[in-house]
Amino acid sequence: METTETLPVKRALGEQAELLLLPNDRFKKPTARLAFDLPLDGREPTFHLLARVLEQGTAALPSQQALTRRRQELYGASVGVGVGRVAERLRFSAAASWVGERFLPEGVSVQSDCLALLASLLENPIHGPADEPLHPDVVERERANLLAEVRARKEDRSVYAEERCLEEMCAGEPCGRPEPATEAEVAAISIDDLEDARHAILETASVSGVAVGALDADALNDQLAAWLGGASGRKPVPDPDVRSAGELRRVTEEMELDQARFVFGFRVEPATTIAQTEACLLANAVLGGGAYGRLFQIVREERSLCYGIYSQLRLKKGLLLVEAGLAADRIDEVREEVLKQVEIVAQGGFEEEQLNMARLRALNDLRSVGDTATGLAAHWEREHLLGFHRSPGERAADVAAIEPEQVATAARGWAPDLLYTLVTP
Amino acid sequence: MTIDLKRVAEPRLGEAVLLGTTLGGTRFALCPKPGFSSSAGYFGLRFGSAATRFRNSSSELIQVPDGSAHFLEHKLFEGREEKVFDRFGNIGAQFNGGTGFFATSYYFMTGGPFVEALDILLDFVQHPLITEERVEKEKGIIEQEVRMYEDDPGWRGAFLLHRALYHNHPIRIPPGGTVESVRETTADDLQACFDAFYRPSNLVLSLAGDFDPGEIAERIDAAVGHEEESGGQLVPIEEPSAPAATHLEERFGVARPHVRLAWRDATGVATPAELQRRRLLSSLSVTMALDASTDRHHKLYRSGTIDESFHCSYTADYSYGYACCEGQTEHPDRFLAGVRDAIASFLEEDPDQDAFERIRRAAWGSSVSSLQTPAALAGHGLQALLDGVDPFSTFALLDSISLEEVLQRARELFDPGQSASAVLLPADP
Repeated sequence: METTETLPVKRALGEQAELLLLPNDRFKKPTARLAFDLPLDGREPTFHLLARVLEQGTAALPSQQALTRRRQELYGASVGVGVGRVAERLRFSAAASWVGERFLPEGVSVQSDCLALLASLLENPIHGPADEPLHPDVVERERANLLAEVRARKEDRSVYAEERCLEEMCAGEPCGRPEPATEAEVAAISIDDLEDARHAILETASVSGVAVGALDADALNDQLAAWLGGASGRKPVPDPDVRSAGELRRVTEEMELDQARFVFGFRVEPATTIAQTEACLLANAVLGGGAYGRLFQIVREERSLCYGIYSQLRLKKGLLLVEAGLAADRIDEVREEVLKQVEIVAQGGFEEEQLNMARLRALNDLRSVGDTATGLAAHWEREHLLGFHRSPGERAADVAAIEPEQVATAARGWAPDLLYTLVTP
Repeated sequence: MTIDLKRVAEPRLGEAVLLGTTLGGTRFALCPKPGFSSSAGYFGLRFGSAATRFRNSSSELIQVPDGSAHFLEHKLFEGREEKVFDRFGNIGAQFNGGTGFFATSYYFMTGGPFVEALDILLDFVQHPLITEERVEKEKGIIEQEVRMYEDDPGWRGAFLLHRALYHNHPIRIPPGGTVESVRETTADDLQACFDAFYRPSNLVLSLAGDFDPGEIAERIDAAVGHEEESGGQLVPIEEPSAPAATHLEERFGVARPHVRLAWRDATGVATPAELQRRRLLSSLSVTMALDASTDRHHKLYRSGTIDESFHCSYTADYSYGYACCEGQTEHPDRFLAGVRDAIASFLEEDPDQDAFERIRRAAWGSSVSSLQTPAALAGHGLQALLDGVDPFSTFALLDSISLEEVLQRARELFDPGQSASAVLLPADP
């Protein structure tokens, strides 16, 4: 059976802890990814600092140096943790990928060692000399590093503009908080806070895992179940609050720049069915999903107003962002053109060819998903988040069935909310 | 006619590539991937932004504005009658291009029809329509692209370092050129570049996917030109042997200083095999010296001299090369002294065979990981063709080299007399 048609084997690791297994020998590098989901409740800065602290080593490998050497011994395996926002939830991720057995010397397998190392990053961090659960020196060093990251957030102008738009647009909502943190928040985190956060991951977070590739599925399942199966306090994370647009607002901030940044935020009506979801995604692709999107074709190719202009959809939270880098004196022209193009999509005024291009691209991407372990893992993580559980092939059939009117209907649910611009003083 | 295909395999990876050359001299690599749904094609040539002075096929000296190779890449995507965006869009393929200092490449990736995508790639790269009107229309777009990069601290810091390391070399200028050079570019400049370099014998093509290699080889031969005349010749770059400056600083919108410390490598490699060997030995030297697994890195990290932003690398072509350690710090002087001391101590310490074997093992794992998809294999094949080496020859080289060779390379590379630093300082002191 094609990898795009195969459904994963679903295993329960424990309460609110589920693993999807897709063993397949075609991939050189198997991957196992675990998502620990928690509500976005203001403790995000603590989890960011915790991820940094845990990446410094374990009780048995008590330095970054020892950890790096261990990864090298495991044939350059990638084993680590991270933190981010997904659909207005806090996602602490733990992931390992390693070279498949057939590419290693005969009799060598590193799967079990990689998973053990992953578990020990979370379970057995470097302790302090006075039996502190986390080493104070490591915490202070990583606090300084996180503070440096916070202070440097303006250095990537594009990311900064997007984050500032979201902060202004979603002020008062969980996703409107500065990411990863403010300096004051970082300064206030204690070792106890970090230890509470670590326990929250291991004991109360809902867990979803995906493992894909040339792996020993039973052994992997058993190892993860032994690690994560015992917790009884795991809770599901509620869906985010989706809000409607208010009066269109405009926020302009200043910074020394060669190029102004433009981020136009829209509120998106919730898509609850598969058809609504796929129609909304296609509408986004027609508007600004790529080089064949209307924004790129008209704002860049016809009017030469910018180098790149794209739209991105955050379905679960109900947000659409249109972003561009441009000359400051063209901002109003681009704003008007964006509004005009959104209206054209909403009225079904796009050409059939444009919808076909967007659809073909989506279908081709779904056919390609089965060629990489990471692609398949990402597909199943997304399906799990959306609650649909379709194979790539099943999703392709849904995409193929969307009518132009459904696309226009989806775009009619987009309302402009905030225009953020970053310009030179 | 049937083209001879030479099979090159890497049994440990389970991969094989078929190499061929068309009548016109276009070299190509085919990597069949039965059972895979996606495919990819890369079409490129050794012509990049460094080629601003060259002799054309009539031996005339041509001088074009900085950024011309990149401008030409943009214009090729406009196509002759139909935009390349639309042609690839009609079959749902992803596509893009890239211009470096010494090469330009164009690619597609698709889960859809492979042959149609290949035909588009072969056509638009060889048959552009360059007019003054089209060139003028593109200037605003490219100017915004140039400005976008100018706002990137990593970009600014890298080119500040290039200006410290080199007096005249074109890598001092970003591939896109400057706003001024873009504005002065003409259709004649771009046509001159195209005529001199976009010739069958300069072009290389790398494909991976589920296809019949024999049929595809014939299709390529039919689609690429058969003229055998020679193309443009680059005017050699004249460059003094020592860095242009030992230290440069620039103020920019960064939160704390971005520091780069580099060692300029000697020129002198003349063949593709020599360059390949130098790149591998030098990269391993840099890893052995200051990778996160070393005592030296550990000491610098624990003392706060470096942090997670610290990174070391090596880059080279025939006319330039350097090793670089970079990071962000509140104390640039401490960073520079600490890294210099660490390198000096590395050169004095006893050889560590265990560390070498561990790093070599990890390098093998990284190589396996990097060649998983048809797109990755096609990209790897293109780079090998541009470099003039067999696609999997690096693996045998990795197996064969010794620690002593790596250390010898390190002693040549980390010459204090060839060192230069570049620091981006926060705009508000």
